[in-house]
Amino acid sequence: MENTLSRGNQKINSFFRAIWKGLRNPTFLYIVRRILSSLLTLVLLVALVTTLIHMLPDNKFVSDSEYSSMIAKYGQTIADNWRKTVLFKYGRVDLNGNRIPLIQSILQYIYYILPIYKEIPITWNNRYTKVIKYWTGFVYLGRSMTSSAFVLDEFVARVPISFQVTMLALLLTYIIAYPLGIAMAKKPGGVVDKIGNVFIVLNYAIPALVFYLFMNIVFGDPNGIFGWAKFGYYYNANNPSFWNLVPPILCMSFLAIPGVIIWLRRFMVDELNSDYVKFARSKGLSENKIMYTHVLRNAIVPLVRNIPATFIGAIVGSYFVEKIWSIPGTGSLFTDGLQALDVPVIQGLCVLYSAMSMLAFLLGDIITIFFDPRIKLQGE
Amino acid sequence: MEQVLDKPIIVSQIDMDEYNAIDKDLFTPVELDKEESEHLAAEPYSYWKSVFRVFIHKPGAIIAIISLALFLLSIILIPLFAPSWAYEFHVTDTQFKATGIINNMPPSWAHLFGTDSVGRDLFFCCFTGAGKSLLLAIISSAIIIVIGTLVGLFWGFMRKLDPIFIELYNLISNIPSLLLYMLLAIVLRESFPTMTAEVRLIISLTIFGWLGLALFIRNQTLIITNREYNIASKALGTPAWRIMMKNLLPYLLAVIITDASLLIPGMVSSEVSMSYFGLGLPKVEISIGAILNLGIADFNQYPWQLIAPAFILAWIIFTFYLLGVSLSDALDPKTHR
Repeated sequence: MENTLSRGNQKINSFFRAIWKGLRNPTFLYIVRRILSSLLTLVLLVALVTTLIHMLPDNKFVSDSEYSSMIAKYGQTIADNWRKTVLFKYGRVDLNGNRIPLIQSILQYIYYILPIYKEIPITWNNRYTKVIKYWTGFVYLGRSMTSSAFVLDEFVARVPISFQVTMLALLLTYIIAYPLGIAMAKKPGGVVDKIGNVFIVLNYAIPALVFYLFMNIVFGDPNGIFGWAKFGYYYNANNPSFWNLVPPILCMSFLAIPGVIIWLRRFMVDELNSDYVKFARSKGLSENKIMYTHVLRNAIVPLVRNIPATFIGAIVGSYFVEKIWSIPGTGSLFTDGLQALDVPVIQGLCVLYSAMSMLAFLLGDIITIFFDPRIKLQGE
Repeated sequence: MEQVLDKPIIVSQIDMDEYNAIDKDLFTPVELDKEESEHLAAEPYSYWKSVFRVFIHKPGAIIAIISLALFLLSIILIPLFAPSWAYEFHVTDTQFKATGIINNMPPSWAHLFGTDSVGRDLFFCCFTGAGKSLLLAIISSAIIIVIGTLVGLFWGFMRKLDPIFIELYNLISNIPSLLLYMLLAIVLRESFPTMTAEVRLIISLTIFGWLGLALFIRNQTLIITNREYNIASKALGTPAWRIMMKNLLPYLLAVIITDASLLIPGMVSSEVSMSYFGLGLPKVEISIGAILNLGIADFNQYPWQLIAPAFILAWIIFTFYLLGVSLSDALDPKTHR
């Protein structure tokens, strides 16, 4: 009886010891430290963005023309009251009409984005004495001024289409760029390398915005060279068809190819000068075998670090493409918000994008450890 | 002369006979010339000469220089020949009738690039606008480079400030750059309505733009401060600013020059992107971004209104990118031998 108990104790002890050992693992500690510092950065970011928004004058929230028409219609007091309530809705003043200090708005926004369950009043009765409707949920990113949709819901609803377009474009980019980059790295200074370099320089010179606009016409024009394919000028959200998305995908990957090629070629050429490649050559391995089994594996490690950033970039979407082909994705949410000066949308997306970007870098570092056992994350 | 080699030279009797038979007066011994012996046959290594030599032998560099020269000439000379009506803004029909200019004209001999929707001549507008855009880009890049270099050097030296700078860098680098530029432009436009569009553009592009360069300079500084010559300088009691200016800056100059030539096209593109979202220069101004923005409205019917500024923009980017790439190769001392 005693014996089994002590054995159980031993088991529990060893279990805790394993956990303790795991907790003291330098990689784990590094990740914890990174998460904590990211949270600090996020708080500072909220402070920065909120300060910038705080500097905007009030007439960006209540347009002057609307205010003066209210005065003409109902008189000064009612118009002032109305103005006060609108400003109150956007968190500029409190119910008595006093300006909310900057530090309070920063703390309030931090409270809004904390992932805890909370109730936020969104609708009041006419006299603003009682709250009629609450928003309930975990992360609150504000409410659009133009469409009065909740920013986070709107964003989540728009993610699939952006993700689909950008991921397909990226896939196409990698399928084309990897063989090209490898072919260029095989003989630096050779014919393929020279042609590739000319292509890269010319491609870099193309202004993205103009390129997309032209391609929109070239692919969309029913009487043009691609008229037979019936791509159409715009993506029709009411009658979605994948066929409309083919031109934006092609154009995006065309412009993204040089970026991939340059880095791949550079890393591969660096690796090609190393000792293990010379050894593999003297061993009598074929060039292709050296390239694909030895060099590519090493050259790909710095590129793997970008994979999470790529995925998150795909969620963020492309501003120009989505605007020009009128794809209702996350990128166009942002550009529309900017053009309409929809402050809550801009503020919410700023915080959201930055948080996602930090997450992407962290994930990239973690993935690199699994790909390259030589790398140990420890920090200082 | 004798016993130069380890082994004694075995000279046969016949060779010795031949040697004795030679008339000794045929030979005159060479006198030792002190000056001649001090002379170096190989030319002394000069960094900038080598940079120039490598640079001038690159076909890309030649193309970039010719292209840059042509571009600078055209943005300086062409506006000088501009007639007064070229930049006139027509709004009403009476204005059009008064000058006799038709808007949205296709390219012809009278208007080489056609006219835009307000009746301006696109040929003159494009080159004048290119000059303005380039000037804005050069000013922004210069500000970024000066601040970035100074702060980067400082950052590399003052290790105590490192956490603050790193935090600032993390903060800014995580916001998508276009978003940050536009947010700043909006805030500046709304908070300071009297500020001109040019100043606003430069401030919003530069206020956080120097951080990337500063981080790079900081990393390079950290690498080279522990080299022997810097440790020696420190041991001799050289003040920090002198080490920065005399030891570190010349080493970093190559990086800075390359960065400058790659920054300029980026700045021109940023101006165009911001104009597209209505946050750059207003449409009445003459700059590449403003002309493009005006041309986008109806480019389905009048494609030349977009082609002309796009061509100029592509020219700027192409020239400076090629120049930057060639320079970065030539400035690398590894390519000099």
